[in-house]
Amino acid sequence: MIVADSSYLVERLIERRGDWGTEDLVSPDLAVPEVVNAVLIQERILHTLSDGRPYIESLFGAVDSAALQLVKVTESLVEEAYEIAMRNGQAIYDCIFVALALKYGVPLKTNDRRQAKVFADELSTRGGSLSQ
Amino acid sequence: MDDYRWFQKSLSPPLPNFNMKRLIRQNVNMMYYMPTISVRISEEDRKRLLRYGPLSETIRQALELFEKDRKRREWMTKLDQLQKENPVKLDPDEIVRLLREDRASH
Repeated sequence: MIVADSSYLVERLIERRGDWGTEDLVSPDLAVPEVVNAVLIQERILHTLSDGRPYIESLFGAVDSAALQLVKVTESLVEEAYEIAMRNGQAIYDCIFVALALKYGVPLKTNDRRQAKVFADELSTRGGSLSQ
Repeated sequence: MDDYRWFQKSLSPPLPNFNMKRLIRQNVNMMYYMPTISVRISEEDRKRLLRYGPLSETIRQALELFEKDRKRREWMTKLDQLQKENPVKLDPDEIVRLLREDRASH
């Protein structure tokens, strides 16, 4: 299992890499509007996509086929993310993904270097190791 | 006439051949009826599978896994087809920048 940041999900959804589905991805449910908005921007502003709707359909296909599990953002997850955000001076959105990966003890896949660093720092502070 | 008046004026129901008992029985049957399937397996397999609990539960779980696997394969094929038809190369830094803007705007 791997926790996937929205940046990673957008890339996997739009670019052809042919390997999504071989691993189980988990994301907080707030990733859905973020990914959908990124698809919208790709179509409406950047014109890299002619129609974003099939990608959105595919995102929900991933959820339906359990290739992507969505986790509800709970109070305890937010509390943990809040502490991480305070320690590292990051936005709460980034830290919810970090908190989820730390909670499950699994890697965090992200294209965001700052978020990756926060995750690495938090992990080393806790002296933790990942289950995968 | 309002819809409920038929009840006030007469106890006869509005639909022909209306049978409340039958209606309840049908609904109860629909709620509790589950089709049964038979699976032929070897005695050896049966003994081996019994290690994991009742066979019916094992088969039920196996069917769920089978469906999940099929669903995932179908989804992967559709996604691959979509990506093949629309070859797009994204800049990962650009994606991050867009998401940051989105997150900052809230």
